Amino acid sequence: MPAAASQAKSLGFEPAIKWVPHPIQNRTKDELAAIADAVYEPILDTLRGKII
Amino acid sequence: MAEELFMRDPTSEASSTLRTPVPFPADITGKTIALLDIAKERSDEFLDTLETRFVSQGFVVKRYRKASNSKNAAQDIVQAIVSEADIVVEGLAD
Amino acid sequence: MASQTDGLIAIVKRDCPTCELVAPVLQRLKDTGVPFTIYSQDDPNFPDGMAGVVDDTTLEQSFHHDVEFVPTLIRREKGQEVERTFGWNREDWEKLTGIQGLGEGLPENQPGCGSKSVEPGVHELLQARYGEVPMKARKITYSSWDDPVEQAFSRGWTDGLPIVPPTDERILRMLQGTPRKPDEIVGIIPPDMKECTVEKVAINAVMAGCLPEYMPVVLAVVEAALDPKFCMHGLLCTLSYSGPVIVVNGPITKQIGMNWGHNCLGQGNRANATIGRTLQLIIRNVGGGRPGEIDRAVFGNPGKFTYCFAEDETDSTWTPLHIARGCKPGSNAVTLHQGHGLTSFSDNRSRTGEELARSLAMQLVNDIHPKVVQTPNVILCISPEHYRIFEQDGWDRAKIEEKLHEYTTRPGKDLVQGAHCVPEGVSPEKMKDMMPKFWRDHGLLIVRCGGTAGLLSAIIGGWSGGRNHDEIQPVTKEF
Repeated sequence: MPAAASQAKSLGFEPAIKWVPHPIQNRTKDELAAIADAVYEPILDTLRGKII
Repeated sequence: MAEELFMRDPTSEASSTLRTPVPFPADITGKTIALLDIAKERSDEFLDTLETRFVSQGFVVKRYRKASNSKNAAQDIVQAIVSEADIVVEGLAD
Repeated sequence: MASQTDGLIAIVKRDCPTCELVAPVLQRLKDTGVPFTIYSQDDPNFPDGMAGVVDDTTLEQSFHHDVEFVPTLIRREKGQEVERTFGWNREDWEKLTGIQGLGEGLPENQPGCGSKSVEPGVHELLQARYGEVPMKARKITYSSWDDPVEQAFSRGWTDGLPIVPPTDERILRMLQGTPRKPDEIVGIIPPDMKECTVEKVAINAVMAGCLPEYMPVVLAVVEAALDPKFCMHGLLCTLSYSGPVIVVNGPITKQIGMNWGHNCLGQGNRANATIGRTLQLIIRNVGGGRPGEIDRAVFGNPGKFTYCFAEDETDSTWTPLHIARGCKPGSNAVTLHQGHGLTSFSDNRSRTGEELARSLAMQLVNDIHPKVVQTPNVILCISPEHYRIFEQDGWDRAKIEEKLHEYTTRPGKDLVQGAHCVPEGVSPEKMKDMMPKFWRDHGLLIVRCGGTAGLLSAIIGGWSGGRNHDEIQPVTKEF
């Protein structure tokens, strides 16, 4: 998270960001799908302007 | 470490120093969503799930993938997204 | 920060014959054992063979010690400078050091050279790095890996063309162009109605590419644009094509190298290009006026990048525009017109003032629409060859204006709505009236300019807002 914030500051640009739990690479297929599922509604809310 | 330099702000300074992204469309119903795979390992699987969810809710989804996670997206990918999609969701960085 | 050592300080540079001359004197002073720091501006190995010379190639110490010439010799006591001398003068050096018999075999005196720290543009760079700066504007940081020109684009600061990055040293140089204080408020900029300081004007002037000497003109332009009668807010919001068009008069046009001759309405002249551009950048950046947002122009026009030129005042028999509009002889002034584009006028056959005036009138009446009157104010640019025709007949500005107003006045029956099967036009109640195309007092601004060969003149069209005679007018500001 600090890296993303730092890079945003350097670039002077802050996109809407949604965080997912770490790590990713060693997850099973089902675990990864569950992580993606869990962040879908927050992504949608952001696109709809309900949250930043 | 790269030296930090600065310019002086020519504006009225009413807004943040961060550049403002283009706002999302006011109504996103049925819009085309570009899912941009940044080419880190397992990003494609992650985006597969998002694609399934977006499609099930009536969005049009187009998939794009960077050549490498360490470099910016190539110009042709950026231009394709700009002309073919309304919204970009990119992932998965870690 | 300046070195705090007591004792003697010398600032020298290799590229200075007098510094070379006094090298043995410096060695003699060092040999006395008195605390003595020697700073070298360009080569820490100079003077040759002298140990302990301090590298001041960054010029930080030269800046803090306010060095203008080299060699400079300073004596400090109890943390304060008590005396200094520069160049070589035996008597002064002996008095300052308290040591007699210095510089045996050298001439009695020899002038020094300019310090590197005051070379053109360098002092502002040093002030930005090591000194205090008066600027209060927010810092927008970027790394040395970034391109500040691209940063400015992505932040929306530009008019579509690259800007000069507004770094502190550039802003300091720009502020040298005016005695006005950086925090002085010049005015309130529409549409966001934000305060604009001299500093913000300087920042945008840097971005536009101005030289510091343009600042008096730029400040006058901004103030004229904010005159309520110029109606800058309305001009910005209009659907119409128009933007500010700037005519500059007075001795300053020559002093800063403006163009009133060949291609004066086109590209290629720095002052013409950047003064007009600065106003547009200020409207955009400070005022928040941007195309597609508050700026609703259907087409706009290329003049909204910049539209600024000078009048040809080389003929002393001609009354310049600003004098005709009430400025004092010899003064500088800017006249701001709400206008756009260029309508061509080519007449190769008229040989008398009468013929040329009638011919010009045929083109002038078309601005905005042939059947629309008392709406646009226009600028008529008369070229040298066309002016010669008027001059031959003894016509001065007043006569040319009188005749053009006469020949652009037409019967209402040709102008009313529906006349000639065209719905546009004036109210039918004007059927029996003679209708002037332009307001008599400010509707037709005549400017002499243009290249020396060519029976061409030019008309700069006007904003439809000009129909509000009392509320919206061209504005002239003397400075």
